[in-house]
Amino acid sequence: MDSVIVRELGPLLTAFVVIARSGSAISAEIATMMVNEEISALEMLGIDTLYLVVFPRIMGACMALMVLTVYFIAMGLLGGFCMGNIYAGLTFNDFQTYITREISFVDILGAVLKSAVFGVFIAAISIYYGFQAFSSTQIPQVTTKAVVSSISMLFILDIIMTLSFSL
Amino acid sequence: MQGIELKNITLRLNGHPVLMNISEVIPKGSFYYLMGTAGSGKSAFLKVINGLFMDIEGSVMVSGENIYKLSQKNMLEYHKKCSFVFQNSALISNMTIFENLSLYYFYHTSLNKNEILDKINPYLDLFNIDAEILQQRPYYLSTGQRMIFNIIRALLEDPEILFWDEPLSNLDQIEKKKVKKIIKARHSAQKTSILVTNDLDYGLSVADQVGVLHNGHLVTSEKPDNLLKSKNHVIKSLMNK
Repeated sequence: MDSVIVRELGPLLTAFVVIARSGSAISAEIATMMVNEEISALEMLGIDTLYLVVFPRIMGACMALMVLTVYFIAMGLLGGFCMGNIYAGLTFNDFQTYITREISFVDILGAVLKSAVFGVFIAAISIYYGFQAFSSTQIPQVTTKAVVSSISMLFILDIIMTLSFSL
Repeated sequence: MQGIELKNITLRLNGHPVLMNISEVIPKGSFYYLMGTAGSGKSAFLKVINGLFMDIEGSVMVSGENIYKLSQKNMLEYHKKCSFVFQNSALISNMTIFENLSLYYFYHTSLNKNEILDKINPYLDLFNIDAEILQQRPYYLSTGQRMIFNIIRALLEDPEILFWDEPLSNLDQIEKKKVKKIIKARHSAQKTSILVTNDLDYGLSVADQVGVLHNGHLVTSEKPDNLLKSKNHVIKSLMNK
Protein backbone atom coordinates (compact mmCIF):
# COMPACT_ATOMS: atom_id res chain seq x y z
CA MET A 1 0.00 0.00 0.00
CA ASP A 2 2.83 2.41 0.86
CA SER A 3 4.55 1.92 -2.47
CA VAL A 4 1.19 2.46 -4.20
CA ILE A 5 0.90 5.82 -2.43
CA VAL A 6 4.40 6.77 -3.48
CA ARG A 7 4.36 5.50 -7.06
CA GLU A 8 0.77 6.07 -8.13
CA LEU A 9 -1.62 7.82 -5.75
CA GLY A 10 0.76 10.59 -4.71
CA PRO A 11 1.56 12.00 -8.18
CA LEU A 12 -1.89 11.22 -9.62
CA LEU A 13 -4.12 12.64 -6.88
CA THR A 14 -1.90 15.70 -6.46
CA ALA A 15 -2.11 16.28 -10.22
CA PHE A 16 -5.92 16.09 -10.03
CA VAL A 17 -5.93 18.75 -7.31
CA VAL A 18 -3.57 20.97 -9.33
CA ILE A 19 -5.69 20.57 -12.48
CA ALA A 20 -8.83 21.53 -10.59
CA ARG A 21 -7.28 24.43 -8.74
CA SER A 22 -4.46 25.78 -10.91
CA GLY A 23 -4.95 24.35 -14.41
CA SER A 24 -8.41 25.86 -14.66
CA ALA A 25 -7.14 29.13 -13.16
CA ILE A 26 -4.25 29.35 -15.63
CA SER A 27 -6.57 28.67 -18.54
CA ALA A 28 -9.18 31.20 -17.40
CA GLU A 29 -6.53 33.84 -16.64
CA ILE A 30 -4.88 33.59 -20.05
CA ALA A 31 -8.24 33.44 -21.81
CA THR A 32 -9.23 36.64 -20.01
CA MET A 33 -5.92 38.24 -21.00
CA MET A 34 -6.63 37.27 -24.62
CA VAL A 35 -10.15 38.69 -24.56
CA ASN A 36 -9.01 41.94 -22.88
CA GLU A 37 -6.20 42.25 -25.44
CA GLU A 38 -3.58 42.12 -22.68
CA ILE A 39 -1.61 39.56 -24.68
CA SER A 40 -1.71 41.88 -27.72
CA ALA A 41 -0.57 44.74 -25.48
CA LEU A 42 2.44 42.70 -24.34
CA GLU A 43 3.28 41.87 -27.94
CA MET A 44 3.01 45.54 -28.88
CA LEU A 45 5.53 46.33 -26.14
CA GLY A 46 7.94 43.98 -27.89
CA ILE A 47 7.73 41.48 -25.04
CA ASP A 48 7.86 37.81 -25.87
CA THR A 49 4.82 36.25 -24.21
CA LEU A 50 6.70 32.95 -24.03
CA TYR A 51 9.00 34.48 -21.42
CA LEU A 52 6.43 36.51 -19.53
CA VAL A 53 3.31 34.34 -19.72
CA VAL A 54 4.12 30.78 -20.78
CA PHE A 55 7.45 29.69 -19.22
CA PRO A 56 6.85 31.06 -15.70
CA ARG A 57 3.54 29.20 -15.48
CA ILE A 58 5.04 25.95 -16.75
CA MET A 59 7.96 26.24 -14.32
CA GLY A 60 5.60 27.15 -11.48
CA ALA A 61 3.23 24.25 -12.11
CA CYS A 62 6.13 21.81 -12.48
CA MET A 63 7.81 22.84 -9.22
CA ALA A 64 4.54 23.15 -7.29
CA LEU A 65 3.48 19.68 -8.34
CA MET A 66 6.82 18.15 -7.32
CA VAL A 67 6.70 19.76 -3.88
CA LEU A 68 3.00 18.99 -3.37
CA THR A 69 3.51 15.35 -4.37
CA VAL A 70 6.26 14.91 -1.78
CA TYR A 71 4.00 16.63 0.75
CA PHE A 72 1.06 14.38 -0.21
CA ILE A 73 3.20 11.23 0.11
CA ALA A 74 4.55 12.33 3.50
CA MET A 75 1.05 13.09 4.77
CA GLY A 76 -0.29 9.81 3.34
CA LEU A 77 2.38 7.78 5.08
CA LEU A 78 1.97 9.74 8.31
CA GLY A 79 -1.78 9.09 8.14
CA GLY A 80 -1.05 5.38 7.71
CA PHE A 81 1.20 5.41 10.75
CA CYS A 82 -1.44 7.21 12.86
CA MET A 83 -4.12 4.66 11.93
CA GLY A 84 -1.71 1.76 12.53
CA ASN A 85 -0.74 3.23 15.88
CA ILE A 86 -4.31 3.76 17.03
CA TYR A 87 -5.83 0.47 15.83
CA ALA A 88 -2.84 -1.95 15.87
CA GLY A 89 -0.36 -0.36 18.29
CA LEU A 90 2.24 0.15 15.57
CA THR A 91 5.37 1.79 16.98
CA PHE A 92 7.31 4.45 15.07
CA ASN A 93 10.41 2.20 14.91
CA ASP A 94 8.39 -0.63 13.32
CA PHE A 95 6.83 1.86 10.93
CA GLN A 96 10.26 3.23 9.98
CA THR A 97 11.65 -0.25 9.38
CA TYR A 98 8.63 -1.14 7.25
CA ILE A 99 8.87 2.05 5.20
CA THR A 100 12.59 1.72 4.48
CA ARG A 101 12.03 -1.90 3.42
CA GLU A 102 9.03 -1.21 1.17
CA ILE A 103 9.94 2.14 -0.39
CA SER A 104 13.18 2.68 -2.25
CA PHE A 105 14.84 5.92 -3.29
CA VAL A 106 14.00 5.03 -6.91
CA ASP A 107 10.28 4.97 -6.01
CA ILE A 108 10.47 8.49 -4.60
CA LEU A 109 12.59 9.71 -7.52
CA GLY A 110 10.08 8.17 -9.94
CA ALA A 111 7.17 9.89 -8.18
CA VAL A 112 8.90 13.27 -8.26
CA LEU A 113 9.86 12.82 -11.92
CA LYS A 114 6.30 11.79 -12.75
CA SER A 115 4.85 14.81 -11.00
CA ALA A 116 7.31 17.11 -12.80
CA VAL A 117 6.15 15.76 -16.16
CA PHE A 118 2.50 16.05 -15.07
CA GLY A 119 3.13 19.68 -14.05
CA VAL A 120 4.63 20.57 -17.43
CA PHE A 121 1.74 18.99 -19.33
CA ILE A 122 -1.01 20.44 -17.10
CA ALA A 123 0.39 23.96 -17.48
CA ALA A 124 1.08 23.60 -21.21
CA ILE A 125 -2.42 22.26 -21.96
CA SER A 126 -4.07 24.96 -19.82
CA ILE A 127 -2.01 27.70 -21.48
CA TYR A 128 -2.75 26.32 -24.95
CA TYR A 129 -6.51 26.39 -24.38
CA GLY A 130 -6.28 29.83 -22.74
CA PHE A 131 -4.78 31.19 -25.94
CA GLN A 132 -7.76 29.85 -27.96
CA ALA A 133 -10.27 32.31 -26.44
CA PHE A 134 -11.31 35.34 -28.46
CA SER A 135 -14.55 36.36 -26.75
CA SER A 136 -15.75 36.35 -23.16
CA THR A 137 -18.26 33.56 -23.85
CA GLN A 138 -15.36 31.29 -24.80
CA ILE A 139 -13.61 31.65 -21.42
CA PRO A 140 -15.65 28.95 -19.59
CA GLN A 141 -15.54 26.73 -22.70
CA VAL A 142 -11.75 26.78 -23.01
CA THR A 143 -11.39 26.33 -19.25
CA THR A 144 -13.53 23.20 -19.34
CA LYS A 145 -11.64 21.90 -22.37
CA ALA A 146 -8.34 22.51 -20.56
CA VAL A 147 -9.48 20.55 -17.50
CA VAL A 148 -10.89 17.62 -19.51
CA SER A 149 -7.82 17.43 -21.78
CA SER A 150 -5.45 17.66 -18.82
CA ILE A 151 -7.20 14.76 -17.04
CA SER A 152 -7.19 12.63 -20.21
CA MET A 153 -3.53 13.40 -20.83
CA LEU A 154 -2.76 12.63 -17.19
CA PHE A 155 -4.06 9.04 -17.53
CA ILE A 156 -2.15 8.47 -20.77
CA LEU A 157 1.08 9.87 -19.29
CA ASP A 158 0.63 7.85 -16.12
CA ILE A 159 0.26 4.60 -18.07
CA ILE A 160 3.29 5.38 -20.24
CA MET A 161 5.47 6.35 -17.29
CA THR A 162 4.39 3.48 -15.07
CA LEU A 163 5.16 1.03 -17.87
CA SER A 164 8.51 2.73 -18.49
CA PHE A 165 9.49 2.51 -14.81
CA SER A 166 8.44 -1.13 -14.55
CA LEU A 167 10.61 -2.19 -17.51
CA MET B 1 11.56 53.24 -40.79
CA GLN B 2 9.85 54.00 -44.11
CA GLY B 3 6.15 54.26 -44.76
CA ILE B 4 3.54 51.54 -44.52
CA GLU B 5 2.11 49.84 -47.59
CA LEU B 6 -0.84 47.47 -47.50
CA LYS B 7 -1.26 45.29 -50.57
CA ASN B 8 -4.56 43.49 -51.25
CA ILE B 9 -5.30 42.81 -47.59
CA THR B 10 -8.20 40.49 -46.88
CA LEU B 11 -9.00 39.40 -43.35
CA ARG B 12 -11.63 36.87 -42.34
CA LEU B 13 -12.55 36.05 -38.76
CA ASN B 14 -14.49 32.79 -38.32
CA GLY B 15 -15.17 32.85 -42.05
CA HIS B 16 -16.75 36.30 -41.81
CA PRO B 17 -15.02 38.92 -44.01
CA VAL B 18 -13.76 41.84 -41.92
CA LEU B 19 -11.44 43.54 -44.40
CA MET B 20 -11.76 43.04 -48.16
CA ASN B 21 -8.95 43.57 -50.65
CA ILE B 22 -7.52 46.71 -49.08
CA SER B 23 -4.54 48.45 -50.60
CA GLU B 24 -3.20 51.64 -49.10
CA VAL B 25 0.03 53.62 -48.65
CA ILE B 26 0.72 55.60 -45.49
CA PRO B 27 3.85 57.74 -45.94
CA LYS B 28 6.42 57.99 -43.17
CA GLY B 29 5.77 60.87 -40.78
CA SER B 30 2.20 61.38 -41.96
CA PHE B 31 -0.96 61.50 -39.88
CA TYR B 32 -3.54 59.07 -41.17
CA TYR B 33 -7.11 59.24 -39.98
CA LEU B 34 -9.30 56.20 -40.49
CA MET B 35 -13.03 56.76 -40.34
CA GLY B 36 -16.02 54.51 -40.77
CA THR B 37 -19.18 53.30 -39.11
CA ALA B 38 -19.10 50.88 -36.16
CA GLY B 39 -18.09 47.42 -37.34
CA SER B 40 -16.57 48.67 -40.58
CA GLY B 41 -13.20 47.11 -39.67
CA LYS B 42 -11.25 50.12 -38.33
CA SER B 43 -9.70 48.37 -35.33
CA ALA B 44 -8.97 45.30 -37.46
CA PHE B 45 -7.20 47.58 -39.96
CA LEU B 46 -4.91 48.87 -37.19
CA LYS B 47 -4.22 45.38 -35.87
CA VAL B 48 -3.43 44.05 -39.34
CA ILE B 49 -0.68 46.67 -39.69
CA ASN B 50 0.71 45.51 -36.35
CA GLY B 51 0.81 41.85 -37.25
CA LEU B 52 -1.67 41.02 -34.50
CA PHE B 53 -3.65 38.69 -36.77
CA MET B 54 -2.15 35.39 -37.79
CA ASP B 55 -3.96 34.64 -41.03
CA ILE B 56 -4.40 37.39 -43.56
CA GLU B 57 -4.29 37.45 -47.32
CA GLY B 58 -2.02 40.05 -48.91
CA SER B 59 0.99 41.77 -47.41
CA VAL B 60 1.85 44.65 -45.09
CA MET B 61 5.13 46.22 -46.09
CA VAL B 62 6.98 48.30 -43.51
CA SER B 63 10.48 49.49 -44.40
CA GLY B 64 10.22 47.37 -47.52
CA GLU B 65 9.65 44.17 -45.53
CA ASN B 66 6.47 42.14 -45.28
CA ILE B 67 5.83 42.06 -41.55
CA TYR B 68 3.88 38.81 -41.89
CA LYS B 69 7.07 37.13 -43.11
CA LEU B 70 9.16 38.36 -40.18
CA SER B 71 10.64 35.91 -37.70
CA GLN B 72 9.30 36.04 -34.14
CA LYS B 73 12.44 37.93 -33.05
CA ASN B 74 12.18 40.52 -35.83
CA MET B 75 8.46 40.94 -35.19
CA LEU B 76 9.25 41.82 -31.57
CA GLU B 77 11.84 44.32 -32.83
CA TYR B 78 9.19 45.83 -35.12
CA HIS B 79 6.76 46.05 -32.20
CA LYS B 80 9.36 47.91 -30.15
CA LYS B 81 9.16 50.70 -32.74
CA CYS B 82 5.34 50.85 -32.60
CA SER B 83 2.84 51.63 -29.88
CA PHE B 84 -0.84 50.91 -29.74
CA VAL B 85 -3.46 52.78 -27.76
CA PHE B 86 -6.06 50.07 -27.29
CA GLN B 87 -9.77 50.86 -27.35
CA ASN B 88 -10.39 48.93 -24.12
CA SER B 89 -7.14 50.02 -22.39
CA ALA B 90 -5.65 46.49 -22.25
CA LEU B 91 -3.64 47.17 -19.11
CA ILE B 92 -2.22 43.98 -17.63
CA SER B 93 -4.67 43.23 -14.84
CA ASN B 94 -2.34 41.32 -12.51
CA MET B 95 0.22 44.13 -12.48
CA THR B 96 0.15 47.53 -10.80
CA ILE B 97 -0.14 50.66 -12.91
CA PHE B 98 3.56 51.37 -12.33
CA GLU B 99 4.48 47.87 -13.50
CA ASN B 100 2.28 48.35 -16.55
CA LEU B 101 3.94 51.64 -17.42
CA SER B 102 7.46 50.39 -16.76
CA LEU B 103 7.13 47.12 -18.71
CA TYR B 104 8.78 48.53 -21.85
CA TYR B 105 11.71 50.06 -19.93
CA PHE B 106 12.06 47.01 -17.72
CA TYR B 107 12.42 44.63 -20.66
CA HIS B 108 14.28 46.78 -23.17
CA THR B 109 16.39 49.24 -21.20
CA SER B 110 18.57 49.27 -18.10
CA LEU B 111 16.75 52.18 -16.44
CA ASN B 112 16.16 51.84 -12.71
CA LYS B 113 12.90 52.53 -10.88
CA ASN B 114 13.67 56.22 -10.20
CA GLU B 115 14.70 56.86 -13.79
CA ILE B 116 11.47 55.26 -15.01
CA LEU B 117 9.50 57.40 -12.54
CA ASP B 118 11.23 60.48 -13.98
CA LYS B 119 9.82 59.50 -17.38
CA ILE B 120 6.31 58.90 -15.99
CA ASN B 121 6.04 61.98 -13.74
CA PRO B 122 5.55 64.61 -16.50
CA TYR B 123 2.49 62.70 -17.69
CA LEU B 124 1.12 62.43 -14.14
CA ASP B 125 1.53 66.20 -13.81
CA LEU B 126 -0.12 66.79 -17.18
CA PHE B 127 -3.20 64.76 -16.24
CA ASN B 128 -3.18 65.85 -12.56
CA ILE B 129 -2.85 62.29 -11.34
CA ASP B 130 -1.72 61.46 -7.81
CA ALA B 131 1.46 59.32 -7.85
CA GLU B 132 -0.08 56.97 -5.27
CA ILE B 133 -2.37 55.62 -7.97
CA LEU B 134 0.66 53.98 -9.58
CA GLN B 135 0.52 51.28 -6.90
CA GLN B 136 -3.10 50.37 -7.73
CA ARG B 137 -4.21 47.55 -9.98
CA PRO B 138 -6.10 48.55 -13.15
CA TYR B 139 -9.46 47.14 -11.98
CA TYR B 140 -9.61 49.68 -9.14
CA LEU B 141 -9.52 52.54 -11.65
CA SER B 142 -12.30 54.11 -13.69
CA THR B 143 -12.40 53.39 -17.44
CA GLY B 144 -11.30 56.97 -18.07
CA GLN B 145 -8.25 56.60 -15.83
CA ARG B 146 -7.41 53.29 -17.45
CA MET B 147 -7.55 54.94 -20.87
CA ILE B 148 -5.17 57.68 -19.70
CA PHE B 149 -2.64 55.12 -18.46
CA ASN B 150 -3.09 53.19 -21.69
CA ILE B 151 -2.15 56.36 -23.57
CA ILE B 152 0.78 57.09 -21.24
CA ARG B 153 2.07 53.51 -21.68
CA ALA B 154 2.05 53.98 -25.46
CA LEU B 155 3.71 57.40 -25.32
CA LEU B 156 6.47 56.29 -22.94
CA GLU B 157 7.94 54.15 -25.74
CA ASP B 158 8.33 57.26 -27.92
CA PRO B 159 7.44 55.07 -30.89
CA GLU B 160 8.11 55.71 -34.56
CA ILE B 161 4.55 54.65 -35.38
CA LEU B 162 1.66 55.20 -33.01
CA PHE B 163 -1.75 53.61 -33.47
CA TRP B 164 -4.62 55.36 -31.73
CA ASP B 165 -7.76 53.23 -31.45
CA GLU B 166 -10.50 55.51 -30.08
CA PRO B 167 -8.18 57.33 -27.64
CA LEU B 168 -10.83 59.91 -26.75
CA SER B 169 -13.47 57.44 -25.59
CA ASN B 170 -14.35 57.44 -21.87
CA LEU B 171 -12.46 60.70 -21.27
CA ASP B 172 -13.99 63.89 -19.89
CA GLN B 173 -13.75 67.17 -21.81
CA ILE B 174 -10.60 68.39 -20.03
CA GLU B 175 -8.78 65.10 -20.55
CA LYS B 176 -9.91 65.01 -24.18
CA LYS B 177 -8.34 68.42 -24.77
CA LYS B 178 -5.06 67.24 -23.25
CA VAL B 179 -4.99 64.07 -25.32
CA LYS B 180 -5.81 66.04 -28.47
CA LYS B 181 -2.83 68.29 -27.71
CA ILE B 182 -0.59 65.26 -27.33
CA ILE B 183 -1.81 63.85 -30.64
CA LYS B 184 -1.17 67.18 -32.39
CA ALA B 185 2.29 67.42 -30.83
CA ARG B 186 3.18 64.05 -32.33
CA HIS B 187 1.91 65.28 -35.67
CA SER B 188 4.14 68.34 -35.41
CA ALA B 189 7.09 66.08 -34.59
CA GLN B 190 6.54 64.36 -37.98
CA LYS B 191 6.04 60.94 -36.42
CA THR B 192 3.70 58.50 -38.13
CA SER B 193 0.31 58.24 -36.46
CA ILE B 194 -2.78 56.34 -37.44
CA LEU B 195 -5.92 57.47 -35.68
CA VAL B 196 -9.34 55.92 -35.32
CA THR B 197 -11.86 58.13 -33.57
CA ASN B 198 -15.53 59.00 -33.70
CA ASP B 199 -14.63 62.67 -33.23
CA LEU B 200 -14.90 63.45 -36.94
CA ASP B 201 -14.08 67.16 -36.74
CA TYR B 202 -10.94 66.55 -34.75
CA GLY B 203 -9.80 63.68 -36.99
CA LEU B 204 -10.26 65.75 -40.12
CA SER B 205 -8.55 68.78 -38.59
CA VAL B 206 -5.40 66.91 -37.66
CA ALA B 207 -5.01 64.40 -40.52
CA ASP B 208 -2.84 64.58 -43.62
CA GLN B 209 -4.76 61.76 -45.22
CA VAL B 210 -8.13 60.19 -44.48
CA GLY B 211 -9.20 56.64 -45.24
CA VAL B 212 -12.89 55.73 -45.24
CA LEU B 213 -13.85 52.16 -44.41
CA HIS B 214 -17.30 50.77 -45.10
CA ASN B 215 -18.25 47.12 -44.56
CA GLY B 216 -14.60 46.10 -44.72
CA HIS B 217 -13.90 47.97 -47.98
CA LEU B 218 -11.69 51.03 -48.24
CA VAL B 219 -14.11 53.39 -50.01
CA THR B 220 -11.58 56.17 -50.53
CA SER B 221 -8.35 57.61 -49.25
CA GLU B 222 -7.88 61.34 -49.73
CA LYS B 223 -6.76 64.59 -48.19
CA PRO B 224 -9.33 65.97 -45.70
CA ASP B 225 -10.22 68.94 -47.93
CA ASN B 226 -11.05 66.70 -50.87
CA LEU B 227 -13.12 64.46 -48.64
CA LEU B 228 -15.30 67.34 -47.53
CA LYS B 229 -16.21 67.98 -51.18
CA SER B 230 -16.93 64.34 -51.92
CA LYS B 231 -20.25 63.33 -53.45
CA ASN B 232 -19.89 59.69 -52.37
CA HIS B 233 -23.02 58.69 -50.43
CA VAL B 234 -21.06 56.70 -47.81
CA ILE B 235 -18.85 59.69 -47.05
CA LYS B 236 -21.83 62.03 -47.08
CA SER B 237 -23.73 59.86 -44.60
CA LEU B 238 -20.66 59.59 -42.36
CA MET B 239 -20.33 63.34 -42.33
CA ASN B 240 -24.04 63.80 -41.78
CA LYS B 241 -24.29 66.01 -44.85
